[in-house]
Amino acid sequence: MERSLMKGNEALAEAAIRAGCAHYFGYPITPQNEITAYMSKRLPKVGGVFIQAESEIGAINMVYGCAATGTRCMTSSSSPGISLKTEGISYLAGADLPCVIVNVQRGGPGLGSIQPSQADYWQATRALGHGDLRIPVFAPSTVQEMADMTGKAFDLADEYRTPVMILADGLLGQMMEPVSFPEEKAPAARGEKAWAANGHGNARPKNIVNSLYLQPEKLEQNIKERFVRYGEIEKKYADAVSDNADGADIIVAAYGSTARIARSAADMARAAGIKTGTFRPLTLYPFPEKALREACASAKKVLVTEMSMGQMVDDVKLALECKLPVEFFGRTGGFVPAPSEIFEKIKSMTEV
Amino acid sequence: MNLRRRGETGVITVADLDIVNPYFRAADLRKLFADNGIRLAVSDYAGSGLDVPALNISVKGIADNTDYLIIDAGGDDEGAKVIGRFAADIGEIGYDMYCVVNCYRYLTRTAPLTAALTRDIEAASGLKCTGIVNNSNLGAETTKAHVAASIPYARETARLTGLPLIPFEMKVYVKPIWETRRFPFSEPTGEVADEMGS
Repeated sequence: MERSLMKGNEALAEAAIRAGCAHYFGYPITPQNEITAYMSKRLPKVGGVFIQAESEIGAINMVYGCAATGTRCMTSSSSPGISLKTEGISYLAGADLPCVIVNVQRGGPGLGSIQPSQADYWQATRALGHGDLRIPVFAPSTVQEMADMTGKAFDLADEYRTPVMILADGLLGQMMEPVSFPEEKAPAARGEKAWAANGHGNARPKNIVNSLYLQPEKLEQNIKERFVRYGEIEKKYADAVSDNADGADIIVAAYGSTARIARSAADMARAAGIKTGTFRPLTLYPFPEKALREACASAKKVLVTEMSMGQMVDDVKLALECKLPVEFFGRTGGFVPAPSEIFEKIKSMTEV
Repeated sequence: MNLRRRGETGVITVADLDIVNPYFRAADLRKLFADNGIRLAVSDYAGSGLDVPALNISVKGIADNTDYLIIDAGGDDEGAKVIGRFAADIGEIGYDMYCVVNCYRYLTRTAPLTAALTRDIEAASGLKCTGIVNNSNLGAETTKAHVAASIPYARETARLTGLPLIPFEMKVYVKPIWETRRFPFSEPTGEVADEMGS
């Protein structure tokens, strides 16, 4: 397969186009600007539409309108911009509209910094809008995964009629690595969307896309039906990888770019005689609880490491049901943890 | 760096006019340049983490006080727009403008695509390119075969643009942080990489 050298942001954008995303709505913010710039250059050449909206709020509502027609579409931003989009994401979830939303995380709260961060885990997995809703979240760790997970995200979004998030960070967005793209699927292979409000031509009853249900019975029924779909997503899409977990005394759990550093630290620990494995969730919602428990079968302790003050650590503790001690090491403010720092933490966990 | 390696003793200045992306600026390599007696001209905001596309640089002022001025103008027509602001001064001083091309970058994977981008860069910058530099590479995966396979592409790009191919000697001084070790991006940058040859 042909290899190209691409930034993570560029690879994600190209993968979206190949997944049939012909419509993109966005607003610039560092460190995700390459997605917006790439879409502005490429989409007009493939018969698509690029719109730089007046704001993040404008962009997410354009996604709502576009998704309502059954057309694959996407928006992207970075942390403060995602906060602005959350009202629109809730409306998309409430109207069962498929789309892909990308967060190339930077530091927060507030304007924070333009440096990499993973401090939006709680927001991505718990708080992407008001109401009873969940949003599936993919967590790439390489430029290749930025591409691969984007295709999966569009498929999941269509299959379950839900917004889906790609949660990357500034490091992954800016990093350049060789990448290969899968063959493009023909539009027919993606299936018809019988619910789409795309013109009935007097040939069928009209479709209405809406998130307002004034009768309690209707709203409860609607939410319960959606939660059945969330249950199916949890069974089908929860995914993770682990390395050297068999027989490990310590498991280091990390996602995204931090997971690559965690592997380096685990290599250092094993070289020092500490039986150390790693666990990396590929999906953050659904969190791969069963895979984590399996990876921790022999472990005596678990270390969670993140570019934050500790957010995924909550899901790790929930999945392990307090059966193992869970410790945390993180850097924040734009610092990326060093393998040596994580290694020192692993060493300290072996001391009684 | 090649000028210094060739024994050039005059004043050399590198100006970083790439303000589209606040990541990966020449300002990050301040020590490497200083150690080799190369002056650095960057925005006051470079390396500050501030996301402001501001540039308080006078190209003419720098040119008056240096023997060689090398300008990094970013990777495409968006980056080259900044050059447009200084086009009149640069034209008056006299210049060479090289398009550094890579057939393993997706948007320049063929000679016609690269030639079109070269024309876009000229339109955005208000200056004419004077040469093509073939820097085709696949990052850490690059082999001699990759470089050899890119030569027909480089020749065709030169033919389509009517520009000469500029030969150059390459030594890698700095690798991106994610290539310096296996999973590396947490230690200080700026280390000297292994020589990859010409």
